[in-house]
Formats: sequence, C-alpha cells, structure tokens
Amino acid sequence: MRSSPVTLEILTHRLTAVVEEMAETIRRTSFSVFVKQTADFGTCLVTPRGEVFAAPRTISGNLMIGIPAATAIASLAPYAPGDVGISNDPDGTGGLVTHLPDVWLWAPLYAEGRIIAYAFSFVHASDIGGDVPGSISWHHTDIHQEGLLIPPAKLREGGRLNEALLRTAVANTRVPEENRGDIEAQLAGLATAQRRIDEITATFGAAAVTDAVEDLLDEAERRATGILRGFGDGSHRFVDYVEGLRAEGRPAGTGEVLVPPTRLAVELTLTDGRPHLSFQGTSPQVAEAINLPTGGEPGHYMLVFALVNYLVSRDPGIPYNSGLVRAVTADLPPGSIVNPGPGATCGVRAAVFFRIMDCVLGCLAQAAPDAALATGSGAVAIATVAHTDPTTGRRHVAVGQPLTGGSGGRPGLDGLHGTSYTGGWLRNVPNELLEQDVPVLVEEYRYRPDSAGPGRHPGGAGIVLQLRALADGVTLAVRGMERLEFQPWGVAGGLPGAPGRAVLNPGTPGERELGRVNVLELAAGDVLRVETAGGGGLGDPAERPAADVARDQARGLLTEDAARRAYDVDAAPTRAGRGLFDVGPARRAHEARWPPPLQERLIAALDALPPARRPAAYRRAYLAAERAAGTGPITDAFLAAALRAVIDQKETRS
Amino acid sequence: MTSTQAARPRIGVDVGGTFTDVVLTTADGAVHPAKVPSDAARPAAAVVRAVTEVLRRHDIAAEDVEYFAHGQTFALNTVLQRAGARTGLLVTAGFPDLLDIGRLRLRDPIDFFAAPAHPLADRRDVREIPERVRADGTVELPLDERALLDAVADLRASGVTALAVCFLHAHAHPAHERRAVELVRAAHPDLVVAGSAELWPEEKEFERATVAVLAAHVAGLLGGYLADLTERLRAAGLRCPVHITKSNGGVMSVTGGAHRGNESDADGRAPLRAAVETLLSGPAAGVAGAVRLAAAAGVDRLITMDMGGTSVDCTIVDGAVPYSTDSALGDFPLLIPAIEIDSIGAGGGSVAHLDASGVLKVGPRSAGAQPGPACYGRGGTEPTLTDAYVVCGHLAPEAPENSESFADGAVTIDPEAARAAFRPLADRLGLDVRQAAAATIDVATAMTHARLLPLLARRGVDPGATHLVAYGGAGPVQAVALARALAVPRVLVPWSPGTLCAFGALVSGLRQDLVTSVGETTATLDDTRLETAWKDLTERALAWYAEQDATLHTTVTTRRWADVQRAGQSFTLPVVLPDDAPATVAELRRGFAAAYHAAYGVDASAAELDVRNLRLTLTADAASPPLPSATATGGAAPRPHRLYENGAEVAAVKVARADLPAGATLAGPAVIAAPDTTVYVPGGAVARVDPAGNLLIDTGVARGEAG
Repeated sequence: MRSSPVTLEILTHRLTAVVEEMAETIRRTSFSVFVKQTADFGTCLVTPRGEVFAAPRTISGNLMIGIPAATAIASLAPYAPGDVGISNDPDGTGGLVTHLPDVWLWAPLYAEGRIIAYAFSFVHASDIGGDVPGSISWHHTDIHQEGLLIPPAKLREGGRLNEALLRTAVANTRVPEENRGDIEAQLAGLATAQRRIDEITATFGAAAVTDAVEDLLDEAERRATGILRGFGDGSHRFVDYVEGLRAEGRPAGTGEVLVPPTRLAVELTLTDGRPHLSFQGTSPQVAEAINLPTGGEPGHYMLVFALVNYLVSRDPGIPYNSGLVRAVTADLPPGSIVNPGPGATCGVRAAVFFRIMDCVLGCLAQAAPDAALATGSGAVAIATVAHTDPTTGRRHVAVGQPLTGGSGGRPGLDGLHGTSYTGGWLRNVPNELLEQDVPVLVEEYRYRPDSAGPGRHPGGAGIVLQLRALADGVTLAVRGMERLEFQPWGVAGGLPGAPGRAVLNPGTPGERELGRVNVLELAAGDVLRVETAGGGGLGDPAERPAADVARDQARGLLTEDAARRAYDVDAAPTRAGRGLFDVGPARRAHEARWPPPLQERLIAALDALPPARRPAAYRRAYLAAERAAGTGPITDAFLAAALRAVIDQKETRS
Repeated sequence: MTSTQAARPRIGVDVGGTFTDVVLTTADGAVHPAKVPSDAARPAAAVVRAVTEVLRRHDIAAEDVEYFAHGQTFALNTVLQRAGARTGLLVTAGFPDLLDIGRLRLRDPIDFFAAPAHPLADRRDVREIPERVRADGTVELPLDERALLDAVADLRASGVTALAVCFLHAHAHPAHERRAVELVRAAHPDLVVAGSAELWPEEKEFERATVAVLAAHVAGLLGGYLADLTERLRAAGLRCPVHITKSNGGVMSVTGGAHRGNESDADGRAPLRAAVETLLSGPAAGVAGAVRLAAAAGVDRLITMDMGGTSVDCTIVDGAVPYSTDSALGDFPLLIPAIEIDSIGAGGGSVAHLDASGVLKVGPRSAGAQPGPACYGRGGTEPTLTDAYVVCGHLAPEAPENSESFADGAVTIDPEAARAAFRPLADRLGLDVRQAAAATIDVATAMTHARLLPLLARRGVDPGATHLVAYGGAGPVQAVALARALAVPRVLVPWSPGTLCAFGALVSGLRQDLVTSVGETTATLDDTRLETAWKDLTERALAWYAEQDATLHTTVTTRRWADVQRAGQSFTLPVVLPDDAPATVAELRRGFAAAYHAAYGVDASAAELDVRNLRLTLTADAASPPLPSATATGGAAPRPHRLYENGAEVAAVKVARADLPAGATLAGPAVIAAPDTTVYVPGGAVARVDPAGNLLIDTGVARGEAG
C-alpha cells in the first residue's frame, strides 16, 4: 500500500463524506417525486480513468459501483475549472446512461492545478418528454418515442451556465420547472464536491489523496478476488427469461404468444478469483423497450449488481468502490440485448437488469452451493392511479405504489417478505394517502399467503393489492410486472415461489386475467387484484422445523393445506432428480417446447443480421416457429424453415 | 412570582444507563451537580437515593424543594428490550400485515444477510376486524361489534395483556375506532387499550398504528414506575410537583391534574400518552439544556455534541430547535414530534482494531460500560478511544497521577492500563504507543466529521457560522478536534457537561404538541375550517395545560403551524403562522411560498396547495429558570502537564475547572480537569470562562491557526 493504514482510513471517511454531502444536497434541494419518494438518484467520485472510488451506501439507490465513466469524460475533454457536463444519451456516454429519464451531470475536480478526479451525479426525471407521460413504456420501438436526447455537452463552461441548452432541454419535457430544479440541485451537489476536495487536499496534499484512492481500489479488488478465489476455479452457467407477451384474458402461460420471451444466458468463469461473464446465447436486442445499453463495459453496474452485493454482504468492511469489479472481464455480444446497437429502446431496461441479477446469483449458487441464495420476485412494478374529474375535466395522478415480492431464501435465513433486493430502497405510499388522492378503495394490502417457495428457509411472501374504483374514469398504469409465468426459482431442494398475477373483477363472471396489465381503465365498481411473486425456497422443506412451519401458519403466511402439501414429510412429493435448481413447471414446459439448443441456434443465426434488423427478425422467426409447431415442440425443421424466411427476407431486401 | 418563591430549591434528575445525575439549585442561586450509579432493577430507588444524598449534602429539607423534574430512559429501554406487555393489535380487515409491511424500504437494501425487522406486536397477535370507513368518512362496512369482542376475547385467552387499535382513516373519521376502544374498555376494564387516533390523529396508518402499539406495550410498566417513583419521593418528604421530560424537549406533570395513577384514571389514557411522549426524552433534555445555556451566552446557531461511551449524538440548531416527525426508535418510526437527534459516531468505548486490509478502524464494537475502556480497570483489555485520550494526556481528570478520580469518584483512571492496551496495536502498526493512540483519535474525528457533514448539508447549514456545544463524558475531550475538521470557529463547553441532561430537565418548560388532519387543497379550503380546527386544537392544548401542575409555569404561549405541500407533490414543508396573523388560507399561502423558495429556490406563490395537517404547540416556560453563574474565585495556579499532539510530546498546563474564575483565559495546549470530564484545549486554541461558568474555546480556525 502507498498510504499509511491511518491516513487511508481517515481519507476513506473524508471522501465518503463528499459523496454523501452531494447526495444530501440533491435530496434537500431537488423536488421531484423520484428523489423524495423512491431515492432514484445517485452521486459518486471517479478517478480520471473512470473508476468509482467513493459512493454513498444508504442515502440513494445503490447503483454506482461499475458505472462506465470514461466515455463520458473523454467526450467533453479538455476541461477547465468550472466545467460541468450533462447527458442522458446511452450511446453518447458509452452506457453510463441506461435509459433517457436518467439525467447525468459530471464535473472535473481540481487540486494543485490538475484534475485529480471527477464528480458524477444523476437524477431520474419524472418526465423527459416523448410520447407518454413519464417517458417510459414497454411498447416503445423507437428511441425518439422515449423523449429528449441530450448528447454529452457542457452545461457549464468555465463557470458560465449554458442557459440556452438548459432552457431547451427542460422545455422539451412535461415538467420543465421540476427538471430545472433537479438539474440545479445537481449543480449545487457538484459544487460542494470541489469545495470539499479543496479542503481535503489542502490538509493532506493531492498526492496523498490519489495514493489513498489507488489503495482503496486495489484493496477492494484484492479482497473481492480473495472471496471469489475461495470458490475455486470453474465455469457455471445459468439461463433465465424476461417474459414476453401472450394474448390477453387467459391464465398465465397459456394463450397465443405475441412477443417471445427474452433469453438471458450468463456463464461465470472463475480463474484464481477473477470472474469472467459470458453472455453468449443471450437474446439479440429486441423490439420492446427492455434493451440494456452497457457500452460493452465488462464491469457495468447493471451487470455486476448481484456480484457487488454478494461481495459486500460477505465482507461488510470491504471498500465500496469499483475495485470490486476491476477484475471482471466479459463477453457482451454486440447487437445482443446486453450490448445493443445505437438507438435501441431502453425505458424498461430494469427488467433485464433484474433478470441478469438472478442469472449471476444462479452462477454463484453453483460456485458455492453452501452460500447459495434462492431468487426473489425479480421485479418491481409501480402501480400509478390516475383519475379524470368528470366535472372539471382535470386529470390527477397519484404517486405510484411500488409492488415487489418476497426475496429468496438465504443461507441460514428465511426470505424477506413483501420486498427484495430488486428495489429494496423503495418506500410504499400509505393507503390512507392513496385513497384521499384518487377515488379508489383499497380492499386488501397484505402479504400473499402460500406464495413463498417452501424450503428449509422459505422465500419471502409476495404482496396482495386489491383495489376497487369508486368512480368512473380511474386509470391504472402498472409498469414492470414480471414472473407471471416463470416462477422465482428455488435452490438445493427449495421450491419455486408462486408466480405473480393480476386479475380484473376476481370471483365474478367478468373475471379476466390481465397479464402484465400496463394500462387499464376502470369503471366504478371494478376491482383489480394484483398478487406479486413469492421468493424461491432454499433447502429441503422436509428439514424445516415443525415449529417454524407452525409459526408461518399462525402468522397467516401459510394455509394448513399448503403446509401439508409442502412440509408434511409423508405427503410431500419426492424432490429427487430436480438438481440444484427448481425452476417450476412453466419454465420446464417452455424448455420442453423450445429446447435450449434450438433457442441458441435461433439466437446465433441472427448474428448474420445488422443489429437494427435483429429485433424484428427475432420476433418473426420465433413466432413463425411457434405457429408451425402448433401445440407440439419446436423441432429443427420448424426452426430452419422459420429462419429461412427471415434470412431470405434479409437477402432480398439488402 | 416573588423572589422568595423563585429562590427555593429545585431538582433536576436524569436516569442514564450507567449513572443517575442530579442537579440541585439552592436558595443562594448556586447550581450543584452530582452523580450516583444507576440501579437497573429499581431505577426509582436510585433516583430517590440521589435526591436524598444531594439534599443531605447541602443540608436542605425535602419539603422545601419547590420543583422536581426528571428524564428517564425506562420507557425507551422497555421498547428496545421488548420487555413490555405482550401487545395485540386490531386492524381493519384486509390489512393484517400493516406492521410487518411498514413502509417496505429495507434499512440496508444491498445486504443479502440482513435480519428481518420484527414488529412490537407479533403478527399472531393481530386480528382483522370487519369494518371500513372511506377517506371521505362514508361508512363502507359497519363495525362488527360481535367479531370485535370475540377477537379480543381470543387474544386475551392467548396471553395478550395490552391492546392497540388502528382502523383506516381513524385520524379524520374516528367513530369506528373510538367505538371499538370503548367497547373493549367496557368489556375488559383491566386491559390497557390504546386507540391510534386518540393518541395521535395523523394520517399514515403504519406510523399511527406504531404509536398505539408503542403506547400499549410500555404504558403498564411506565405507569407502575411513575407510581413507584412518586410514592418513594413522597416518602422521602418531597411535596412539590413531579414532572417528567418529553421527547419534544418539554416536561409534563406526573402528579396533579390528570395523573392520579392508573386506577383512578378512568380510561387509562394518561400513562399511554406519557409512554409515547417520553420515549426519546433523555437526550432531548440534554439538547434543551444545551440550547438554554447557549442562549444565555448569546449563541443561537449551534451543533450539540453529546459524546458518551457508545455514541455521539448531535442536533443541529439553526436558530430554532429542529423537531422531527419521523424519528426512529430502533426499528420503529415515531410520528410524535421529537427533538431531531442523530446518533452519528464512535463513543469513547469504541474499540480500535485493524481490519482485513490492515487498516486502522475505530468501532463499531464498543466496550460499553462493562467492561469499559481498559483505563477504567474493570477488566477491559482492548484499546478504546477513551484509552487513546488518556495515553495522549488529553483526558486527565483532577487528582494525583495514577489514581485519578473521574465521574465524581465513581471511576478511577489507570493510564498504565491504557498504554498497555494500545501496545499490541501499536506494534502491528509499526508505531509507538502514543502515535497509535493519536492515530485512533484522528480516525474517530474523521468518522464523526464524515457523518456530520452530510447532516449539515441536509439542512443547508454553514458550519463556519455555528458553535459546537460539547457535553457528555467524552465530548469536551474530543470537541476542538472535531470543530477544527468542520471549520467551526468556537466550542462551548457547558459549566457541568456531565450533568447537562439533568440540568435540561430542571429548566425545561411545559410543552404539548397536537395535530389534526385536514387533507384538503386550497381549491376548496376556506378560512372557517382553518379557524375552527386551530381553535379546537387550542382548546385541547389549554385543557391539557389545566391538568398540569403548573405552579411555576404560568406564562402560556401557543404556536400554530401546518404541514403543507404543493397539490400533487408528496412531501410537505412546515409552515409557521406568525402569532398575530389571522388563521387564513392567504396567510398559509404566504408562509408556504417563503418556505418553498428558501428550500428550492422556486416561486410557488401561485400554486395550488394541499394542506395535510394543522398543528399546535403549547409552551409554558418555568418562571425564572435557574442559570448557573461562575462561582470560582481563582484558586491554585496551573500545574505543568505533558501531552501528545501533532506528533510530539509538548509542555502544557493542567488546571482544575473550579480554579478558573469568570473572565479567565487559558491558551492551549492545556487540559481543564473537572469531576465529570476533562476539557482538552489543543495548542492554538484559547479558552475563556464566561460569566455563567461555561468555557468558550476559540478553535483557531477563524484565525488560520489550525485546519
């Protein structure tokens, strides 16, 4: 180490204070719902090379480790004191931005006349323009539907604000005043960073600071590889899916496929503690707005989130910086959903981000079965209720209720109920406030009985939200529902959690399954019931102590019937032959119909097409094979025919 | 109030985990602090012992005492140890997991091994009651009284001994909840029953339910404790009113008015209110005392720094004491206004050690009160922050070397034990013992600084314009280093930093906070509703005051304020109505526009506003609250002392605090020793004694002496 063990600790605290002060400044002076309610903003300090060396742990969402900053930094070089960059452009920032509502700002930090670091921050804007309020829709197929694009530009140059740029940017959104306030809040945050760096370098000298930064990054890397080295060398592969879309009104997993599922395949190879992530076999970029722009960056924050959390959970004192992912290498096929070409739509990229998290946990479970975690509900749906007042014609939108499900069973610990590690920073809205805001009656808001995947350590329960419209003109938007078909998987004998579902007017003749919901008009008296997925179980349910089963029953998490089915040693079916993971019947049926080798052949064949053509080709070929196969399995012949049609089209058109 | 009355003796007490502190003011205007060990099993016994002892020492008859106020941690400890009643909860059908779900957010959203939080009322003791009231008060489903009574009978049979009730919208439309509480009280007169809306009628069902559950859990034991205390004090001869401190920094009566004990209190509400209103009272009294002393010294912008064995507790006072309506108490939120106190850093008992990278860390593990720092000689062998102060000579209480008296003789300091504890750590760091100790202090300073800076940013406060007010056993040792790191120019060390909470209890006025829900926008809200609601709150506050034993608190003031947000936004700002302003929408609008502009720099004067709650605060300050005055006349001359700072052993002076008269100045390096702590004045800093006996230390940052 370059620094003394004392100076290093002191500078760690001083640098952490800088990013936390930035975050508090933004929280205090910004006034959009995403900052105040869901903490969807962030701050960090990065080295001139682009590695994050300080980030807050608890104030905002924890998505800073592994941000690729180098492209954004280089895009505006050279810098002068008082410069601030701005962008919300995924391609222009090399994957720093992953969807357009995230508006990033950055500024060089000077000491002794040279740049020793950069400060970065972002705020999720409540609206950035485009064709829907809030700027996010699964159905967007063209990035220009997603709103205003700001390529990297200097918002401040030598301390002078580019007022024309700021005015133009905010004027192209539905909430100009709010966005201006949030951008000014970020400018204030960046200004505090330079002030504090001045103080720190005045006391310790710039060299001591840069030495400490290098030491902290090296230590994080050393300790991370140390933990992973303990797992031994080897390759571990895990596949999971983001669900597609089926014809509405049918039970989950039935009905004609309209949009194919998206396949995510991750192979984690550990060599002497160094992780390599290969995404070969992952779907091409798709027509739905779920593409994840990573800029091909191996340690990208949305690829390594599970790995980072795993390392920090295992070693809570480990330095929290991008050194944790420095050793990560990756194979991110260009034109795939995890490295799409320019202009891919990405509003709901969180769906892919969450599923990659599951895949990485699946790989780690194989690498270290004793420390395996089952997966959680794998989604955060935000339910937003709007009402148009019939007398005034005014539309009123109530703050979204986050709907997430339980976490998976954890080593030595049951899953967490009603929330999980995907969106664990979100706060809910009190039902009393919701009902005062919009004419709905919440009939139930509770844990969902029998939703947790049984196990020695069961998953956490999902949530039930049932509400009734008290007036006509109530619109419900539910964004981000997932795991309606493919259940959160169980590990090491644990069973999968119950899938989520949404149903209109349950228990009436007009009952209708809604799938992902999206946007729904309710008339007075209509009832919507949403049930989120439970987490997967960990370990053999037969080993769960009877007292724990009885307690779950007494707490209303488990009905007597379900307890008998899952935990009665004599009645429960044998778990033999299921392997490490239990992915549930829907996924087993899917892979019986679409054998994985054929899925991979389909995906590989599309490599021949330019990235922009792949979304349509993937969907067309997939659906053609589906139709040809009828109710039977997809075969080589069906797939070959479907591909021929797509490839032929390419040849005739190009 | 005549001068004879004002001059009669008054007593303030603070019951802490380790010590019970007493402050006595006597007829001659003097203020006397004292300390005795606490009695965890019978806290009231220690209080009476302390009172008897201090009265005996000053030769005062118990019946001459005109005022008694005490702060207690009994209720808080009951909650933290979950040692109160097994509490059941009745909720609206459809919401059985109200407490478990809470507000969803995980405390550490990335810790895969986080233990789940457990509510104070177990889910097994929650019953769903068929009833439903809509947000506008329409009854959707009438209260099923039979189901209610069956549920309660069932809970009682299963061993529940206290009950909380929280129905949806009861804050605004309490009929169902009130009826349920009445029915249960009638059917089970011996059962503690807490209704959420009668205790705290504010919207947000989880937080309001938590208020009711906390009250039900604690009320029985707290009522017993207060009855025991009153009885023992009476037996000891005290005839004066007995008060307890509240989380809001005020006090309330235990005797007189409504508090005639649980059995004569028809609905049992008084102990319930006391339970939830006093939960965070201990530290709040300290802040109240610090603010009072600072105000007397002409200081109204300050950061309080209460540093004890396990933590550093800070409050940022920017002109006014900050009140939080979302404090946390362990796992539980507390809606009821409490002085905003953040627990931010390593206390004196924090253990210094090396982590897996060989980096020097301080805490989070603490040696606590048992075994305590190595220098206490109670079996502790690990090096703590307190040991580091001792090794460096910064903590050097009165009395001869090697058997020094500390905390009024309750603790003896052994410097050799402190050095021995640091030796292994120093060896591993390749430093000498003093260097290792100094490094430990530097790391602790950096930690506390790092946590305080974001808090200052959260409130937009410039540290350069504040004073750091340091108290607690370790605060005055650490304060100047922390102030310098923050660029705070002045440190104020109160006349008796070890007993400031007891002093705070003694000087605090009566204070009651009330809330009522509005939930209406300015599109429809009219002045009449505001006027009526505030009038009703004022009447309730005055009724509360009438129940107090307010012999010494005769001047009543009320303040009206409101929680207001822009329509469609989801975060409120507090708007205070000027005392002479009429209760009108226009006034609220004016106040909101000013607050909004100050917070966000945005003009909201034309915006539609959403008025969520109206609040009222009643205060009645004690007539002629005693203030200390410097009594020292200048005694023994400073003795030579050696201490370690900036990497070298330097010649310093040591002086007993009792030997420093008002107006005396002392330039660092120096230590000022007192029975309850040591004040460390580093080189470059200058201490001065003010007329009240407080020490004002110029840290040197303003003069560029240190950074």
